[in-house]
Amino acid sequence: MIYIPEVFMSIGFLIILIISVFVKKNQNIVLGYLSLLLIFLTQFFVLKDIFLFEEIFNNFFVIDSFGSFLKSVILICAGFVIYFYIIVKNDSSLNRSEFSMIILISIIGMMLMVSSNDLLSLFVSIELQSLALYILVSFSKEDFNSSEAGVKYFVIGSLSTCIFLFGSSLIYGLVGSTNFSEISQFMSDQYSVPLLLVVGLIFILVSLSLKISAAPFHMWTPDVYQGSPSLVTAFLSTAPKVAVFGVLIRVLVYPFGEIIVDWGKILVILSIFSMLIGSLGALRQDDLKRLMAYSTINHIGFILMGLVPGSEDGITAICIYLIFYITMNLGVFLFILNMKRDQLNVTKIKDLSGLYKTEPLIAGCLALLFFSMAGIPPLAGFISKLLILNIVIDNNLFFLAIIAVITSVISAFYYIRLVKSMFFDSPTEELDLLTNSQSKLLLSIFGLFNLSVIFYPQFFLNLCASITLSLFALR
Amino acid sequence: MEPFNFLILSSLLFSVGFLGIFINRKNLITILMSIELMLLSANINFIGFSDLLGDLSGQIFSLFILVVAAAEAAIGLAILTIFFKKSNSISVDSINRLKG
Amino acid sequence: MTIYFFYFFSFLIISSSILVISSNNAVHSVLYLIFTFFNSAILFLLMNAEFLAMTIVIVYVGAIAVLFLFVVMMLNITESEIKEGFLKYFPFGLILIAIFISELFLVFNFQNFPIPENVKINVNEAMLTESSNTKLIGLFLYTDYFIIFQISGFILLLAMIGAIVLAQSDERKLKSTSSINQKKVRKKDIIKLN
Repeated sequence: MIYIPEVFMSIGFLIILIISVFVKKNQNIVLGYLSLLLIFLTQFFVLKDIFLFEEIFNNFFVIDSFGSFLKSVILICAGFVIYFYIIVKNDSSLNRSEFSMIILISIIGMMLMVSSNDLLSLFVSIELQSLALYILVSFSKEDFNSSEAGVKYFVIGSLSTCIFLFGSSLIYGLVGSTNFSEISQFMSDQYSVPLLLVVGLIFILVSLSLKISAAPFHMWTPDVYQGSPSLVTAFLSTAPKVAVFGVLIRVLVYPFGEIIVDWGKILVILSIFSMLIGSLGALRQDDLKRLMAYSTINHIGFILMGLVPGSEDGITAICIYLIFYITMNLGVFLFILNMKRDQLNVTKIKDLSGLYKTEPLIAGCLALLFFSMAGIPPLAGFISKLLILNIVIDNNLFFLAIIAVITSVISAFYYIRLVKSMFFDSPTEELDLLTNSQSKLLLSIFGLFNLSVIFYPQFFLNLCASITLSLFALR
Repeated sequence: MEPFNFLILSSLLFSVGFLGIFINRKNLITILMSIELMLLSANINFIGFSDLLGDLSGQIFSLFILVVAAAEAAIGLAILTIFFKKSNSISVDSINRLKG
Repeated sequence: MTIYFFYFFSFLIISSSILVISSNNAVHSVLYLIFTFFNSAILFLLMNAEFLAMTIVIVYVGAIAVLFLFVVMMLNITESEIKEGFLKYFPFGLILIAIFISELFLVFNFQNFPIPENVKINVNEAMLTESSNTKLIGLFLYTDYFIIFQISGFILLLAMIGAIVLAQSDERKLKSTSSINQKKVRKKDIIKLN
């Protein structure tokens, strides 16, 4: 008998929900610790069955090592975000018992997403995840920007849902079923793939690109990242991206693997746009959170590039990229959470200036993270970018590789500008920073991780290669 | 029922909803209504195909779309209410604080 | 005969949906939305989906539209004049939609829909044993589809928690006096004799 982690997590969530009623108003930290414990236990159940393959719940969901791996990554992201919530208390409006509840419920949605094997189950779990995120984005009561970001995110997210549904209705009409294995069967039976099926796939691709904020469907990203509370932005830029990438890979490779010619072209366009807009748009930003939004778009373009050949190596590279990307992002957002001046949260880039003089250790770690994002050689970001570029060149997509290199150089410019302002500019006003030692320790761990990956890249390669095998075993 | 008929109907409804989101300059509630129209268009497709194929799973799919539409309307209107509380307006033009 | 009914109600759906997005008064928009849903319920009846037809009336008209009306009344939005932005975006949007529709039209026109031999739940076979559409949906909803049913329960729970979190206000605005303060009050503080 397998212990399905989602079921365990849902029951745990309901228990914590009941406990939350009896917890006093100023002791929400207790609930944070309970959620962390639940995430740990679920992580154990996920890792226990990581090499299992089974179709469960009437073929609506599938347990395989690819899905289990992504679930584990999502749980790590969520665990860190809840830990940040416990150690950094900078936003009083988040200090309510429901915050960790809604994070938990959105993780349940994401875990269901990456293991769904049917358009119906995929739709329902995407909704569970994104409805939770709409609430999280507009969570802050004091901040006006938060609710404005909430309105924008809600409208775009619902539009994406509608587009997804329209596409899946077309696919249902043609295939007569929404199950991925049935769709795959239909595709292999057909002499030539009907045009309407491609149209349906394009609808689904557009909807998923709205969710991962790939350009030209990225317009909401900077506003939502800037407007929502920093902790929510940290969550928004890591866990949902991993989940939606899991869905994208599963949908494209398994049921629609036959028409790789069609979706390959679309992915090339999406990745070129994302890399260009991500690197050029970031140049004129003065807000750190907006800059991180553009940086995310740039990274998304890079990751999409690995999916273009639809091969096993490409997906291995994507998995590695996702791991490194979340460590970099979580590190930077941990710093942003701690940026304060006179008890007020600040997020401008000019607030960084002269950080080296007051906090040399933190400035060093942050510089490591920024260099890693830019892809400077010995760091983790370099390894992941190298792997993706290697895949792209192996498949003779030189044009794409050239654009990727040019945009990385442009994006390196703005990361280096940040580092320059930290080390060489004279401080305008000092930040009152990092009062707690846990944040310092965690930030140095993130920095060291990015520095030390160069000594054991084989570990990640072997891990991710064995994970992606399960995805291709089905065909 | 010929599939062509309801497909054209649903795509027209989908476009009306799409138009409602993008050219709307009046208020945000109309945007939420346009989203409901788009969900309805997907529903029409599912039920039409369900009738055409003689398969019940399309009807069950559209039942779940109804559930999600209800949840989405509840959350959307709640977000809209707090937006109104802070800005005292729900016109589309009042969403202009965040830009860069 | 059915096809003429279909055309008639489709025409009503499209025209009332255009009125939904173009009406200046938000209350009128909601009423047109209700009209659209009623017509689509009749359309669903023509497509042999009786249960869905009834559900759409109950859920959309009974719950969602009333929610909309409630919010429109609460926020007190009455009339709003058309801004100049409308004319700026309208032609562009119309061109976009025209391209979209004509492309889909071409695709649909040349597409024949093969009917697969074995579908997941064959209605015609199932109807031999079970008498009604509603009974059939219930039969499959609680067995084959139970996991989706559970997840949609979670979605509704989340919607409830979310609406409470967002709409609940922290500070108490009720005008009330605390009993401790009442006890502290002394006679000489309140009554003054000049």
